[in-house]
Amino acid sequence: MAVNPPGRATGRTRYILRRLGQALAVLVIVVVLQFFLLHLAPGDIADVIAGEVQASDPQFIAKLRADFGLDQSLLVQLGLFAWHILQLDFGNSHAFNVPVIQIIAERLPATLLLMTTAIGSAFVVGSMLGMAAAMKVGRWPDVVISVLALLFYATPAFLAGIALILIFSVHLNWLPMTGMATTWVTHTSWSYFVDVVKHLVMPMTALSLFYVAIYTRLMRASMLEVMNLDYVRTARAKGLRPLRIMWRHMARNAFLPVFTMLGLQVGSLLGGAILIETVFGWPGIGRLAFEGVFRRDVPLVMGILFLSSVLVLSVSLLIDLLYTKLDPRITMR
Amino acid sequence: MRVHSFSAILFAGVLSLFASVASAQAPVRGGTLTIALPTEPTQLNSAIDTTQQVKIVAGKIFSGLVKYDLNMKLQPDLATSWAVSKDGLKITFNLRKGVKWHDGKPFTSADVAFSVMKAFGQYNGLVRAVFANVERVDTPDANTAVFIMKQPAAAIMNALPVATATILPAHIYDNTDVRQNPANQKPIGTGPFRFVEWQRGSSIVLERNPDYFEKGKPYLDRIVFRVIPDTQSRGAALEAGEVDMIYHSTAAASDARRLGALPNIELTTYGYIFDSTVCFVEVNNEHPILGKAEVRRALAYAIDRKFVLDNIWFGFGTPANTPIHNALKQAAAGAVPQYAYNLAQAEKLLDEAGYKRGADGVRFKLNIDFVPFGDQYSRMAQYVRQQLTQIGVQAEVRNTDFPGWIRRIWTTHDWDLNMSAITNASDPSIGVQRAYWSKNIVPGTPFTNGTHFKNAEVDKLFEQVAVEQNATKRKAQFASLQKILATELPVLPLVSIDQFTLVNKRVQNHSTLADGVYSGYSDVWIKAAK
Repeated sequence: MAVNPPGRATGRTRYILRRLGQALAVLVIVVVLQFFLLHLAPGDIADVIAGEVQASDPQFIAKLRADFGLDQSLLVQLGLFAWHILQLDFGNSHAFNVPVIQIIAERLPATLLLMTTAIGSAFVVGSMLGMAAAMKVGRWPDVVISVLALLFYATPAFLAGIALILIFSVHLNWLPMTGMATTWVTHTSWSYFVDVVKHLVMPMTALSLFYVAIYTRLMRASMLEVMNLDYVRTARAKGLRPLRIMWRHMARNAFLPVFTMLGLQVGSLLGGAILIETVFGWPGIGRLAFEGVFRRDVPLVMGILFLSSVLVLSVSLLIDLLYTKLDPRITMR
Repeated sequence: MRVHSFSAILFAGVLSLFASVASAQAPVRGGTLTIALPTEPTQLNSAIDTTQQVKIVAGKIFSGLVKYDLNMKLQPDLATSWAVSKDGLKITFNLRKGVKWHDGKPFTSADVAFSVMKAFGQYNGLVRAVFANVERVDTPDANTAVFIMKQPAAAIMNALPVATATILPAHIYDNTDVRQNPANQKPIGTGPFRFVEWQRGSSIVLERNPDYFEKGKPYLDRIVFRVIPDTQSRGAALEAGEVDMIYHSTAAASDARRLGALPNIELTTYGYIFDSTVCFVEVNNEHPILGKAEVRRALAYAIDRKFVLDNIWFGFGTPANTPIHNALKQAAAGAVPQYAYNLAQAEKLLDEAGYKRGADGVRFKLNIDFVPFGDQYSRMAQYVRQQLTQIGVQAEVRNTDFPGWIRRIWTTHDWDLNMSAITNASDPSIGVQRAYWSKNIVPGTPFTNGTHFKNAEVDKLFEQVAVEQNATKRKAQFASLQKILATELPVLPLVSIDQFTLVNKRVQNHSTLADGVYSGYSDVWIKAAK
């Protein structure tokens, strides 16, 4: 990696460079660990393919193993994999027989759409509810919000998904229940947008409920903490309007822990997306990874894990950078 | 017609089938049929991959040489007539004239020769062994293909429908690696529907082939396959009218009766003769205790097959006495030993075999494995464990995923009892022989003889039925074969499973062939809403 001349590197670039270095080390560890973990699991893709078609033919299976390079030693396989990754070549998926990067490119946008809208709406709704509860602490709106949050927190996402399907698709027939779009009709760009939104509403809601609960509770606690600090009392004493105090003085500080949580949760969100994608037949990457593990499709799973690690690491770096914007007292070292 | 001992509840479903046949309205053109796929296929070439999710899509795009109707009578597909020589060593097919591939190129006997010798004869794990008997395919002219056999193969005609012996275009596949060919992702066939697009992770769309060789067909404009991996969601999608069909028992069995009773949904078990599946308790025949036939017979007495059928398979099937499915009429079982549920008898046999209860009431300990698909097999494992406890056999249920399970049963061979099932395919020579023939003990290869059962008489009979040309003699051989299997019990047969299809009643003619949902659907049409 290129390094700036020492004298000219500011604190920020030094920080970013160090973080990038750390991220690279984490990536290498992730790749090696995942490779061995995947191979620790008994059985390989040849077993799966032969098992799926109930093939009872040893030559057929030997042929498969040779084609996939599974007849070579583990270290040779790891070496080859690492060498290809360095050239950004993820190889061919064993199960689909097309380049891994092509499959991921087809499926990643769906997951990104689901994740960003779910986490975005959870963040907005959760913070609002949290603030509202804190402002009315101990009174009925607080009780209602807290009970709701507890309910959301305790409901598994897939269960919420099935409940939504039963209500809005089976009984009311308002929303389509599976897939991301109606692909076999011709769309204008507007009708396509509406179609995708209709398909998105339920999976997004199901995925975000848990996070709504977390942000609500976090924001509520964090607002309550800030509420009694000296500078808030000062602001009140100055005679500022309550809404302005809440937004400018309390919320801005209360957001910090919520923000930290947001960065940490991108990884867990990817995990949660697997269940939601399965329930709603959403054509995303979580489901792809899950199926890949069960098919022992090593190149595909490694490719997905590699890119997900890159995604999670970049988001956490981005959040740290945004931190300084939010709270100028925090500096990078 | 396929005879079943249907349970009372299923009767309603059958009645509705007859009702739809009896009404015999004229088919209407148009409409879109939507089918739920539980698992997304990895490619769409069924000549090399016979998984359900590949077959159901590819069966609409490609054609086979022949079809079988529900009475198991041969019907023409790409071949209009056929003749088998008396010694079974020469099979002549007269091919349909003027058939075109979806890309406009003419279909000829060269396509047949290529597909047999270089496609499914090489790479189809299920029927490769049958087609290994074909020495070569002669093509005297563009419309005649002649199979020249090394030795007769009794099951070869049963292996020919599109679901297992898919005829591929030689002009696309010849001189390429059949398994890597890009056409596997965008198939070109001769079937009633053409491939349009595949949105990975969500749907596969096919449209009517206007040049299909059966004039005026198919009736449907379009077939859409939607990938819905979650079992509950599939049921809900059918209920909401978002899909028209759930096939091959991929709705929850516990939910199927309720769905089938809805006014707009029909439940049928027709169309799975060629995928006849028997579930059983596999026994490791090399186990020091389980290796004794009298011990296996004792265990058989301890299992109530009726209970398994009613409570685990929700009535979809019949109790099985042998590992051959009762739908395969060419191999009907005669009188075989019965093991009516009797715990006292089980205990008596174990005592006699020398495995008396110890001071702690335990005779011996076992592990139970199960194939990790659906929830039936894990429930079977729990049930068998509970039954064994009652006769003093302590058992532990082990859980693995599919690749791990395959490794354990067929490679490391570190198991005692295993809850499993295999498809008999269209003939026991294809689907059953592999599990009991001692020459097929092939460590490392799934669905071979994993119990390591060895019986010279069974070997000889399986070799006879594989080449026997006389149907009556063959049936008698199958009867003696099953008598031995039911006496020696290399596996404890539990249930001949009836696979089910749940389908919206607007869909007509969907289960009229022996390979049912896997056939081409040129006759299927959709009744307009009233």
